Amino acid sequence: MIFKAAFKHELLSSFRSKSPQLVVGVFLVLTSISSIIGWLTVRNVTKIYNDIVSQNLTTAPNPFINVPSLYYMRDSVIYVVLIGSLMAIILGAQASLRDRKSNASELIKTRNVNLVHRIVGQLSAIASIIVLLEIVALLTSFILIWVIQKTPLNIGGIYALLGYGAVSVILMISIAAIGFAFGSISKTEESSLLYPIVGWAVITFTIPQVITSTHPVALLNPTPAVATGTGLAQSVINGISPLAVMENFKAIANAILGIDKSIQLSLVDLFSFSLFAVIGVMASVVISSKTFGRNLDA
Amino acid sequence: MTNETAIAARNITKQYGEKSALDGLNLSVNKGEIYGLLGHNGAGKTTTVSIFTTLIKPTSGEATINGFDIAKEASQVRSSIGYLPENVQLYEYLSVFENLEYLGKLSGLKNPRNRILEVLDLLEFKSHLDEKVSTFSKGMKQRVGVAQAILHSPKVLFLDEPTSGLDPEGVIQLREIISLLNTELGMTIFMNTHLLSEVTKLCTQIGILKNGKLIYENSLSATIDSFDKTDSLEDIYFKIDGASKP
Repeated sequence: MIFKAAFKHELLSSFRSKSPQLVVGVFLVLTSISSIIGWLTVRNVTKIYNDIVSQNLTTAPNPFINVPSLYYMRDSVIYVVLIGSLMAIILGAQASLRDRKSNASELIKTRNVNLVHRIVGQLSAIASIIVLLEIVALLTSFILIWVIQKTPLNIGGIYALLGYGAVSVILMISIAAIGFAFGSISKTEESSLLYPIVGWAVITFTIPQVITSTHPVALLNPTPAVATGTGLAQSVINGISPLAVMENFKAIANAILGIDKSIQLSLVDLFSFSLFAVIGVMASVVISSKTFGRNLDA
Repeated sequence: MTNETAIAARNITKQYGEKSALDGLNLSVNKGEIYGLLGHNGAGKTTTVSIFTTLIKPTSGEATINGFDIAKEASQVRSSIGYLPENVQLYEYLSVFENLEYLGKLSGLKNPRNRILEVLDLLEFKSHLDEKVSTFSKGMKQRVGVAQAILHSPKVLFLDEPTSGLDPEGVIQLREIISLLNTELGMTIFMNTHLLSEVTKLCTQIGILKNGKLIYENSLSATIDSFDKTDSLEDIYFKIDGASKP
Protein backbone atom coordinates (compact mmCIF):
# COMPACT_ATOMS: atom_id res chain seq x y z
CA MET A 1 0.00 0.00 0.00
CA ILE A 2 2.90 2.36 0.75
CA PHE A 3 4.31 1.74 -2.74
CA LYS A 4 0.96 2.49 -4.37
CA ALA A 5 0.35 5.62 -2.29
CA ALA A 6 3.86 6.93 -2.96
CA PHE A 7 3.54 6.15 -6.68
CA LYS A 8 0.27 8.03 -7.02
CA HIS A 9 1.50 10.92 -4.87
CA GLU A 10 4.68 11.27 -6.91
CA LEU A 11 2.79 11.30 -10.22
CA LEU A 12 0.43 13.95 -8.91
CA SER A 13 3.27 16.03 -7.48
CA SER A 14 5.42 15.84 -10.60
CA PHE A 15 2.57 16.95 -12.82
CA ARG A 16 1.77 19.83 -10.45
CA SER A 17 5.38 21.01 -9.97
CA LYS A 18 6.36 23.89 -12.19
CA SER A 19 10.15 23.49 -12.03
CA PRO A 20 10.62 20.46 -14.30
CA GLN A 21 7.94 21.45 -16.80
CA LEU A 22 10.17 23.65 -18.97
CA VAL A 23 12.94 21.09 -19.34
CA VAL A 24 10.38 18.32 -19.90
CA GLY A 25 8.84 20.44 -22.66
CA VAL A 26 12.19 21.12 -24.31
CA PHE A 27 13.14 17.43 -24.17
CA LEU A 28 9.83 16.35 -25.62
CA VAL A 29 9.92 18.88 -28.46
CA LEU A 30 13.56 18.23 -29.42
CA THR A 31 13.43 14.45 -29.30
CA SER A 32 10.11 14.48 -31.12
CA ILE A 33 11.29 16.73 -33.92
CA SER A 34 14.79 15.26 -34.15
CA SER A 35 13.65 13.39 -37.26
CA ILE A 36 12.69 16.66 -38.92
CA ILE A 37 16.06 18.14 -37.99
CA GLY A 38 17.78 15.03 -39.38
CA TRP A 39 15.71 15.20 -42.56
CA LEU A 40 16.50 18.92 -43.02
CA THR A 41 20.21 18.15 -42.63
CA VAL A 42 20.07 15.40 -45.25
CA ARG A 43 18.01 17.57 -47.60
CA ASN A 44 20.32 20.60 -47.32
CA VAL A 45 23.51 18.58 -47.76
CA THR A 46 21.99 16.72 -50.71
CA LYS A 47 20.95 20.05 -52.27
CA ILE A 48 24.51 21.38 -51.95
CA TYR A 49 25.87 18.06 -53.24
CA ASN A 50 23.61 18.24 -56.30
CA ASP A 51 24.76 21.81 -57.00
CA ILE A 52 28.39 20.72 -56.81
CA VAL A 53 27.73 17.72 -59.06
CA SER A 54 25.92 19.91 -61.59
CA GLN A 55 29.04 22.09 -61.74
CA ASN A 56 31.16 18.95 -62.24
CA LEU A 57 33.13 19.71 -59.10
CA THR A 58 32.89 16.17 -57.73
CA THR A 59 32.33 12.65 -58.84
CA ALA A 60 32.06 11.26 -55.32
CA PRO A 61 28.75 9.63 -54.41
CA ASN A 62 26.22 11.49 -52.28
CA PRO A 63 27.23 10.78 -48.67
CA PHE A 64 23.58 10.50 -47.72
CA ILE A 65 22.51 8.14 -50.42
CA ASN A 66 20.85 5.04 -49.02
CA VAL A 67 21.04 6.28 -45.41
CA PRO A 68 19.06 4.01 -43.11
CA SER A 69 15.57 5.21 -42.14
CA LEU A 70 16.58 5.75 -38.53
CA TYR A 71 19.44 8.00 -39.56
CA TYR A 72 16.98 10.87 -39.47
CA MET A 73 16.65 10.61 -35.71
CA ARG A 74 20.37 10.41 -34.91
CA ASP A 75 20.27 13.81 -33.18
CA SER A 76 17.87 12.49 -30.59
CA VAL A 77 20.80 10.49 -29.14
CA ILE A 78 22.56 13.68 -28.11
CA TYR A 79 19.29 15.23 -26.91
CA VAL A 80 18.90 12.33 -24.50
CA VAL A 81 22.49 12.78 -23.30
CA LEU A 82 22.17 16.53 -22.87
CA ILE A 83 18.55 17.49 -22.18
CA GLY A 84 17.17 14.11 -21.12
CA SER A 85 19.85 13.73 -18.46
CA LEU A 86 19.29 17.21 -17.07
CA MET A 87 15.55 16.61 -17.07
CA ALA A 88 16.09 13.36 -15.19
CA ILE A 89 18.30 15.07 -12.58
CA ILE A 90 15.66 17.74 -12.01
CA LEU A 91 12.78 15.24 -11.81
CA GLY A 92 14.70 13.06 -9.35
CA ALA A 93 16.07 15.83 -7.15
CA GLN A 94 12.73 17.65 -6.97
CA ALA A 95 10.99 14.46 -5.86
CA SER A 96 13.14 13.98 -2.78
CA LEU A 97 13.39 17.70 -2.06
CA ARG A 98 9.61 17.95 -1.96
CA ASP A 99 9.32 16.26 1.45
CA ARG A 100 12.19 18.25 2.86
CA LYS A 101 10.83 21.58 1.61
CA SER A 102 7.30 20.91 2.81
CA ASN A 103 8.54 19.75 6.21
CA ALA A 104 6.50 16.60 5.65
CA SER A 105 9.42 14.31 6.53
CA GLU A 106 8.47 14.41 10.22
CA LEU A 107 4.89 13.48 9.41
CA ILE A 108 6.16 10.48 7.46
CA LYS A 109 8.72 9.42 10.05
CA THR A 110 6.11 9.40 12.81
CA ARG A 111 4.06 6.92 10.78
CA ASN A 112 4.80 3.27 10.14
CA VAL A 113 6.12 3.84 6.66
CA ASN A 114 8.51 1.42 4.98
CA LEU A 115 10.88 4.00 3.53
CA VAL A 116 12.33 1.63 0.93
CA HIS A 117 8.84 0.84 -0.40
CA ARG A 118 8.04 4.53 -0.45
CA ILE A 119 11.24 5.48 -2.31
CA VAL A 120 10.79 2.66 -4.81
CA GLY A 121 7.23 3.92 -5.33
CA GLN A 122 8.50 7.44 -5.97
CA LEU A 123 11.24 6.28 -8.34
CA SER A 124 8.75 4.06 -10.18
CA ALA A 125 6.50 7.06 -10.72
CA ILE A 126 9.42 9.08 -12.10
CA ALA A 127 10.31 6.11 -14.31
CA SER A 128 6.72 6.04 -15.58
CA ILE A 129 6.90 9.71 -16.50
CA ILE A 130 10.17 9.14 -18.37
CA VAL A 131 8.70 6.12 -20.16
CA LEU A 132 5.65 8.16 -21.13
CA LEU A 133 7.81 10.99 -22.51
CA GLU A 134 9.95 8.54 -24.45
CA ILE A 135 6.87 6.83 -25.91
CA VAL A 136 5.56 10.18 -27.13
CA ALA A 137 8.97 11.04 -28.60
CA LEU A 138 9.31 7.65 -30.34
CA LEU A 139 5.77 7.71 -31.65
CA THR A 140 6.32 11.18 -33.12
CA SER A 141 9.59 10.03 -34.68
CA PHE A 142 7.87 6.97 -36.14
CA ILE A 143 5.15 9.13 -37.72
CA LEU A 144 7.59 11.75 -38.99
CA ILE A 145 9.88 9.15 -40.57
CA TRP A 146 6.81 7.64 -42.22
CA VAL A 147 5.85 11.08 -43.61
CA ILE A 148 9.44 11.90 -44.71
CA GLN A 149 10.05 8.55 -46.40
CA LYS A 150 6.46 8.10 -47.48
CA THR A 151 6.68 4.56 -46.16
CA PRO A 152 6.49 3.24 -42.58
CA LEU A 153 9.43 1.69 -40.78
CA ASN A 154 9.80 -2.02 -41.35
CA ILE A 155 9.63 -4.44 -38.43
CA GLY A 156 13.41 -4.33 -37.95
CA GLY A 157 13.26 -0.55 -37.76
CA ILE A 158 10.45 -0.68 -35.21
CA TYR A 159 12.44 -3.10 -33.04
CA ALA A 160 15.47 -0.82 -33.31
CA LEU A 161 13.33 2.17 -32.34
CA LEU A 162 11.96 0.31 -29.32
CA GLY A 163 15.42 -0.91 -28.33
CA TYR A 164 16.81 2.61 -28.53
CA GLY A 165 13.86 3.88 -26.48
CA ALA A 166 14.51 1.25 -23.82
CA VAL A 167 18.20 2.17 -23.53
CA SER A 168 17.35 5.88 -23.38
CA VAL A 169 14.79 5.24 -20.65
CA ILE A 170 17.27 3.16 -18.63
CA LEU A 171 19.86 5.96 -18.86
CA MET A 172 17.40 8.64 -17.77
CA ILE A 173 15.93 6.54 -14.94
CA SER A 174 19.35 5.81 -13.50
CA ILE A 175 20.27 9.51 -13.68
CA ALA A 176 16.93 10.46 -12.10
CA ALA A 177 17.70 8.03 -9.27
CA ILE A 178 21.07 9.70 -8.73
CA GLY A 179 19.34 13.10 -8.73
CA PHE A 180 16.90 11.70 -6.16
CA ALA A 181 19.78 10.66 -3.90
CA PHE A 182 21.37 14.10 -4.13
CA GLY A 183 18.00 15.65 -3.34
CA SER A 184 17.95 13.54 -0.18
CA ILE A 185 21.43 14.30 1.11
CA SER A 186 22.29 17.80 -0.05
CA LYS A 187 22.21 20.61 2.47
CA THR A 188 20.52 23.08 0.15
CA GLU A 189 18.14 22.94 -2.79
CA GLU A 190 20.77 24.52 -5.03
CA SER A 191 23.48 22.01 -4.17
CA SER A 192 21.10 19.11 -4.75
CA LEU A 193 21.00 20.14 -8.40
CA LEU A 194 24.56 21.47 -8.66
CA TYR A 195 26.38 18.30 -7.53
CA PRO A 196 24.70 15.87 -9.93
CA ILE A 197 25.01 18.36 -12.78
CA VAL A 198 28.76 18.65 -12.12
CA GLY A 199 28.92 14.83 -12.02
CA TRP A 200 27.00 14.67 -15.29
CA ALA A 201 29.41 17.17 -16.89
CA VAL A 202 32.35 15.04 -15.76
CA ILE A 203 31.00 11.79 -17.23
CA THR A 204 29.74 13.52 -20.37
CA PHE A 205 32.75 15.70 -21.18
CA THR A 206 35.76 15.32 -18.89
CA ILE A 207 36.18 11.53 -18.87
CA PRO A 208 35.57 11.14 -22.64
CA GLN A 209 38.05 13.95 -23.25
CA VAL A 210 40.66 12.14 -21.17
CA ILE A 211 40.20 8.84 -22.97
CA THR A 212 39.78 10.15 -26.51
CA SER A 213 41.69 13.44 -26.52
CA THR A 214 38.67 14.82 -28.34
CA HIS A 215 37.79 18.48 -28.31
CA PRO A 216 34.83 18.95 -25.94
CA VAL A 217 32.65 20.39 -28.72
CA ALA A 218 33.15 17.19 -30.70
CA LEU A 219 31.62 15.31 -27.78
CA LEU A 220 28.32 16.92 -28.71
CA ASN A 221 28.22 14.62 -31.73
CA PRO A 222 25.62 11.88 -31.47
CA THR A 223 28.26 9.32 -32.44
CA PRO A 224 30.81 8.22 -29.83
CA ALA A 225 34.41 9.43 -29.91
CA VAL A 226 37.06 6.76 -30.39
CA ALA A 227 39.42 6.04 -27.50
CA THR A 228 43.07 6.38 -28.43
CA GLY A 229 46.30 5.52 -26.63
CA THR A 230 49.11 3.04 -26.36
CA GLY A 231 50.96 1.27 -23.55
CA LEU A 232 50.28 2.71 -20.11
CA ALA A 233 47.89 5.27 -21.56
CA GLN A 234 45.84 2.45 -23.05
CA SER A 235 45.65 0.74 -19.65
CA VAL A 236 44.44 3.96 -18.05
CA ILE A 237 41.89 4.39 -20.82
CA ASN A 238 40.64 0.82 -20.38
CA GLY A 239 40.34 1.45 -16.66
CA ILE A 240 38.24 4.58 -16.86
CA SER A 241 36.29 3.90 -20.06
CA PRO A 242 33.37 2.31 -18.19
CA LEU A 243 32.91 5.65 -16.41
CA ALA A 244 32.28 7.40 -19.72
CA VAL A 245 28.64 6.42 -19.42
CA MET A 246 27.35 8.86 -22.02
CA GLU A 247 29.85 7.66 -24.62
CA ASN A 248 28.84 4.08 -23.83
CA PHE A 249 25.22 5.08 -24.28
CA LYS A 250 26.00 6.77 -27.59
CA ALA A 251 27.81 3.65 -28.80
CA ILE A 252 24.91 1.38 -27.81
CA ALA A 253 22.29 3.74 -29.28
CA ASN A 254 24.19 4.07 -32.56
CA ALA A 255 24.63 0.32 -32.80
CA ILE A 256 20.93 -0.28 -32.16
CA LEU A 257 19.72 2.40 -34.56
CA GLY A 258 22.26 1.26 -37.18
CA ILE A 259 23.20 4.87 -37.94
CA ASP A 260 26.90 4.21 -38.27
CA LYS A 261 27.69 0.81 -39.74
CA SER A 262 31.20 0.92 -38.26
CA ILE A 263 29.79 0.83 -34.73
CA GLN A 264 28.93 -2.63 -33.46
CA LEU A 265 27.15 -3.43 -30.23
CA SER A 266 29.92 -3.96 -27.67
CA LEU A 267 29.36 -6.24 -24.70
CA VAL A 268 31.78 -4.15 -22.64
CA ASP A 269 29.77 -0.99 -23.32
CA LEU A 270 26.54 -2.84 -22.61
CA PHE A 271 27.89 -4.29 -19.36
CA SER A 272 29.34 -1.04 -18.02
CA PHE A 273 26.18 0.84 -19.00
CA SER A 274 23.94 -1.73 -17.27
CA LEU A 275 26.17 -1.72 -14.19
CA PHE A 276 25.92 2.06 -13.98
CA ALA A 277 22.12 1.85 -14.15
CA VAL A 278 21.82 -0.91 -11.53
CA ILE A 279 24.30 0.68 -9.11
CA GLY A 280 22.75 4.12 -9.64
CA VAL A 281 19.24 2.97 -8.74
CA MET A 282 20.27 0.71 -5.86
CA ALA A 283 22.61 3.27 -4.32
CA SER A 284 19.89 5.87 -4.58
CA VAL A 285 17.37 3.71 -2.72
CA VAL A 286 19.86 2.85 0.03
CA ILE A 287 21.22 6.40 0.45
CA SER A 288 17.79 8.03 0.33
CA SER A 289 16.25 5.64 2.85
CA LYS A 290 19.17 6.00 5.26
CA THR A 291 19.21 9.78 5.10
CA PHE A 292 15.47 10.40 4.86
CA GLY A 293 14.27 13.47 6.72
CA ARG A 294 17.48 15.48 6.84
CA ASN A 295 16.68 19.13 7.26
CA LEU A 296 17.54 21.58 4.52
CA ASP A 297 19.73 24.50 5.55
CA ALA A 298 17.76 27.73 5.73
CA MET B 1 3.13 3.38 35.75
CA THR B 2 -0.51 2.25 35.79
CA ASN B 3 -3.02 1.27 33.13
CA GLU B 4 -4.15 4.84 33.28
CA THR B 5 -0.73 6.15 32.25
CA ALA B 6 -0.58 7.37 28.66
CA ILE B 7 2.98 8.72 28.66
CA ALA B 8 5.78 7.77 31.00
CA ALA B 9 9.43 8.77 30.83
CA ARG B 10 12.16 7.49 33.15
CA ASN B 11 15.58 9.12 33.33
CA ILE B 12 15.59 10.20 29.73
CA THR B 13 18.77 11.91 28.63
CA LYS B 14 19.72 13.26 25.26
CA GLN B 15 23.22 14.41 24.43
CA TYR B 16 24.26 16.30 21.33
CA GLY B 17 28.02 15.97 21.60
CA GLU B 18 28.99 17.79 24.78
CA LYS B 19 25.63 19.54 25.04
CA SER B 20 22.92 17.97 27.10
CA ALA B 21 19.42 18.63 25.68
CA LEU B 22 17.64 16.47 28.26
CA ASP B 23 19.05 15.53 31.62
CA GLY B 24 17.27 12.71 33.48
CA LEU B 25 13.71 13.55 32.47
CA ASN B 26 11.04 11.79 34.51
CA LEU B 27 7.49 12.49 33.50
CA SER B 28 4.08 10.89 33.67
CA VAL B 29 0.84 11.79 31.93
CA ASN B 30 -2.44 10.06 32.67
CA LYS B 31 -4.92 9.10 29.99
CA GLY B 32 -7.36 11.86 29.10
CA GLU B 33 -5.13 14.67 30.35
CA ILE B 34 -4.03 17.73 28.44
CA TYR B 35 -0.43 18.13 29.48
CA GLY B 36 1.37 21.40 28.84
CA LEU B 37 5.15 21.28 28.81
CA LEU B 38 6.40 24.78 29.48
CA GLY B 39 9.88 26.13 29.10
CA HIS B 40 12.04 28.79 27.54
CA ASN B 41 13.40 28.36 24.03
CA GLY B 42 16.11 25.71 24.13
CA ALA B 43 14.81 24.15 27.36
CA GLY B 44 14.40 20.76 25.63
CA LYS B 45 10.67 20.77 24.83
CA THR B 46 10.98 19.83 21.16
CA THR B 47 13.61 17.20 22.00
CA THR B 48 11.14 15.66 24.47
CA VAL B 49 8.37 15.48 21.88
CA SER B 50 10.78 14.20 19.24
CA ILE B 51 11.76 11.33 21.54
CA PHE B 52 8.14 10.49 22.41
CA THR B 53 7.16 10.48 18.74
CA THR B 54 10.14 8.20 17.84
CA LEU B 55 11.72 10.87 15.64
CA ILE B 56 14.95 10.68 17.65
CA LYS B 57 16.36 8.16 20.08
CA PRO B 58 17.29 9.09 23.62
CA THR B 59 20.90 8.71 24.69
CA SER B 60 19.71 6.81 27.75
CA GLY B 61 16.54 6.17 29.71
CA GLU B 62 13.19 4.64 28.86
CA ALA B 63 9.79 5.88 27.82
CA THR B 64 6.45 4.30 27.08
CA ILE B 65 3.53 5.67 25.14
CA ASN B 66 0.21 3.87 25.64
CA GLY B 67 2.22 1.11 27.31
CA PHE B 68 4.53 0.62 24.32
CA ASP B 69 8.26 1.08 24.71
CA ILE B 70 9.53 3.80 22.35
CA ALA B 71 12.71 1.86 21.58
CA LYS B 72 11.48 -1.74 21.41
CA GLU B 73 7.93 -1.16 20.16
CA ALA B 74 8.36 1.93 18.02
CA SER B 75 5.93 0.63 15.41
CA GLN B 76 3.10 0.26 17.95
CA VAL B 77 3.97 3.67 19.38
CA ARG B 78 3.66 5.26 15.94
CA SER B 79 0.32 3.57 15.32
CA SER B 80 -1.10 4.99 18.52
CA ILE B 81 0.07 8.60 18.27
CA GLY B 82 -0.66 11.66 16.18
CA TYR B 83 1.84 14.46 15.72
CA LEU B 84 1.63 18.06 14.66
CA PRO B 85 5.10 19.61 14.22
CA GLU B 86 5.69 23.29 14.89
CA ASN B 87 6.02 24.39 11.27
CA VAL B 88 3.97 21.98 9.24
CA GLN B 89 3.81 23.14 5.61
CA LEU B 90 2.25 20.04 4.03
CA TYR B 91 2.27 19.69 0.24
CA GLU B 92 1.21 23.17 -0.82
CA TYR B 93 0.40 22.29 -4.42
CA LEU B 94 -2.07 19.61 -3.33
CA SER B 95 -5.60 20.08 -2.09
CA VAL B 96 -6.67 19.36 1.48
CA PHE B 97 -8.15 16.05 0.36
CA GLU B 98 -5.07 15.02 -1.62
CA ASN B 99 -2.80 15.82 1.33
CA LEU B 100 -4.96 13.92 3.78
CA GLU B 101 -5.54 10.99 1.43
CA TYR B 102 -1.79 10.52 1.02
CA LEU B 103 -0.96 10.86 4.71
CA GLY B 104 -3.95 8.69 5.60
CA LYS B 105 -2.71 5.92 3.35
CA LEU B 106 0.76 6.22 4.86
CA SER B 107 -0.96 5.79 8.23
CA GLY B 108 -2.39 2.49 7.01
CA LEU B 109 -5.92 3.60 6.10
CA LYS B 110 -6.93 1.62 3.01
CA ASN B 111 -9.76 3.86 1.92
CA PRO B 112 -9.41 7.08 3.88
CA ARG B 113 -12.12 9.13 2.10
CA ASN B 114 -14.89 8.62 4.65
CA ARG B 115 -12.53 9.16 7.55
CA ILE B 116 -11.21 12.37 5.95
CA LEU B 117 -14.74 13.71 5.59
CA GLU B 118 -15.53 12.73 9.17
CA VAL B 119 -12.43 14.47 10.54
CA LEU B 120 -12.93 17.61 8.45
CA ASP B 121 -16.54 17.70 9.58
CA LEU B 122 -15.37 17.55 13.18
CA LEU B 123 -12.91 20.38 12.53
CA GLU B 124 -15.54 22.36 10.60
CA PHE B 125 -13.25 22.43 7.57
CA LYS B 126 -15.16 20.28 5.10
CA SER B 127 -15.94 23.20 2.81
CA HIS B 128 -12.21 23.55 2.01
CA LEU B 129 -11.83 19.91 0.93
CA ASP B 130 -10.77 20.63 -2.66
CA GLU B 131 -8.84 23.83 -2.06
CA LYS B 132 -5.06 23.90 -2.44
CA VAL B 133 -3.12 24.29 0.79
CA SER B 134 -0.96 27.03 -0.81
CA THR B 135 -3.92 29.41 -0.61
CA PHE B 136 -4.36 28.92 3.15
CA SER B 137 -3.44 31.11 6.11
CA LYS B 138 -1.22 29.66 8.83
CA GLY B 139 -4.29 28.97 10.95
CA MET B 140 -6.00 27.04 8.17
CA LYS B 141 -2.83 25.02 7.56
CA GLN B 142 -2.75 24.18 11.26
CA ARG B 143 -6.26 22.76 10.95
CA VAL B 144 -5.17 20.53 8.09
CA GLY B 145 -2.17 19.66 10.24
CA VAL B 146 -4.45 18.62 13.08
CA ALA B 147 -6.62 16.67 10.63
CA GLN B 148 -3.64 14.64 9.40
CA ALA B 149 -2.59 14.00 12.98
CA ILE B 150 -5.94 12.50 14.03
CA LEU B 151 -6.87 10.68 10.80
CA HIS B 152 -5.92 7.27 12.15
CA SER B 153 -7.68 7.89 15.49
CA PRO B 154 -4.60 8.02 17.71
CA LYS B 155 -4.94 7.75 21.46
CA VAL B 156 -2.26 10.34 22.19
CA LEU B 157 -1.71 13.55 20.27
CA PHE B 158 1.58 15.46 20.39
CA LEU B 159 1.50 19.13 19.49
CA ASP B 160 4.71 21.12 19.20
CA GLU B 161 4.02 24.83 19.82
CA PRO B 162 0.62 24.49 18.13
CA THR B 163 -0.34 28.14 18.37
CA SER B 164 3.04 29.52 17.30
CA GLY B 165 2.64 32.13 14.58
CA LEU B 166 -1.16 32.12 14.63
CA ASP B 167 -3.21 35.29 14.79
CA PRO B 168 -5.52 35.71 17.82
CA GLU B 169 -8.50 34.28 15.95
CA GLY B 170 -6.46 31.28 14.84
CA VAL B 171 -5.29 30.73 18.41
CA ILE B 172 -8.87 30.68 19.71
CA GLN B 173 -10.01 28.30 16.96
CA LEU B 174 -7.14 25.89 17.53
CA ARG B 175 -7.72 26.00 21.28
CA GLU B 176 -11.35 25.01 20.71
CA ILE B 177 -10.23 22.15 18.47
CA ILE B 178 -7.74 20.83 21.04
CA SER B 179 -10.38 21.00 23.73
CA LEU B 180 -12.85 19.20 21.47
CA LEU B 181 -10.40 16.40 20.69
CA ASN B 182 -9.87 15.87 24.39
CA THR B 183 -13.49 16.02 25.51
CA GLU B 184 -15.27 14.45 22.51
CA LEU B 185 -12.70 11.88 21.42
CA GLY B 186 -10.99 11.32 24.75
CA MET B 187 -7.54 11.90 23.34
CA THR B 188 -4.62 12.47 25.66
CA ILE B 189 -2.88 15.60 24.49
CA PHE B 190 0.74 16.53 25.12
CA MET B 191 1.66 20.01 24.01
CA ASN B 192 4.81 22.05 24.08
CA THR B 193 4.33 25.71 24.56
CA HIS B 194 5.96 28.78 25.90
CA LEU B 195 2.63 30.61 26.05
CA LEU B 196 1.30 30.62 29.59
CA SER B 197 -2.11 31.78 28.39
CA GLU B 198 -2.53 28.52 26.47
CA VAL B 199 -1.73 26.45 29.51
CA THR B 200 -4.26 28.30 31.67
CA LYS B 201 -7.04 27.85 29.16
CA LEU B 202 -6.39 24.31 28.07
CA CYS B 203 -4.18 22.16 30.22
CA THR B 204 -5.10 19.98 33.16
CA GLN B 205 -1.51 19.22 34.06
CA ILE B 206 1.72 21.16 33.59
CA GLY B 207 5.40 20.48 33.60
CA ILE B 208 8.18 23.04 33.50
CA LEU B 209 11.40 22.19 31.76
CA LYS B 210 14.59 24.12 32.36
CA ASN B 211 17.94 23.25 30.80
CA GLY B 212 16.74 19.74 30.02
CA LYS B 213 15.44 19.05 33.53
CA LEU B 214 11.84 18.86 34.62
CA ILE B 215 11.82 21.26 37.54
CA TYR B 216 8.11 21.16 38.26
CA GLU B 217 5.12 18.91 37.56
CA ASN B 218 1.61 19.13 38.96
CA SER B 219 -2.00 19.62 38.01
CA LEU B 220 -2.90 23.12 36.98
CA SER B 221 -5.42 23.55 39.79
CA ALA B 222 -2.96 22.30 42.44
CA THR B 223 -0.31 24.60 41.02
CA ILE B 224 -2.56 27.62 41.31
CA ASP B 225 -3.72 26.55 44.81
CA SER B 226 -0.20 26.12 46.14
CA PHE B 227 0.83 29.69 45.44
CA ASP B 228 -0.44 33.07 46.62
CA LYS B 229 -3.98 33.71 45.55
CA THR B 230 -2.88 36.98 44.02
CA ASP B 231 -0.27 35.29 41.84
CA SER B 232 -1.05 34.95 38.18
CA LEU B 233 0.16 31.85 36.37
CA GLU B 234 2.90 33.99 34.92
CA ASP B 235 4.06 34.93 38.45
CA ILE B 236 3.93 31.26 39.45
CA TYR B 237 5.95 30.26 36.40
CA PHE B 238 8.72 32.71 37.18
CA LYS B 239 8.73 31.69 40.85
CA ILE B 240 9.15 28.01 39.90
CA ASP B 241 11.59 28.73 37.12
CA GLY B 242 13.67 30.89 39.42
CA ALA B 243 14.20 33.43 36.70
CA SER B 244 13.48 37.07 37.36
CA LYS B 245 10.39 38.36 35.65
CA PRO B 246 11.35 40.77 32.87
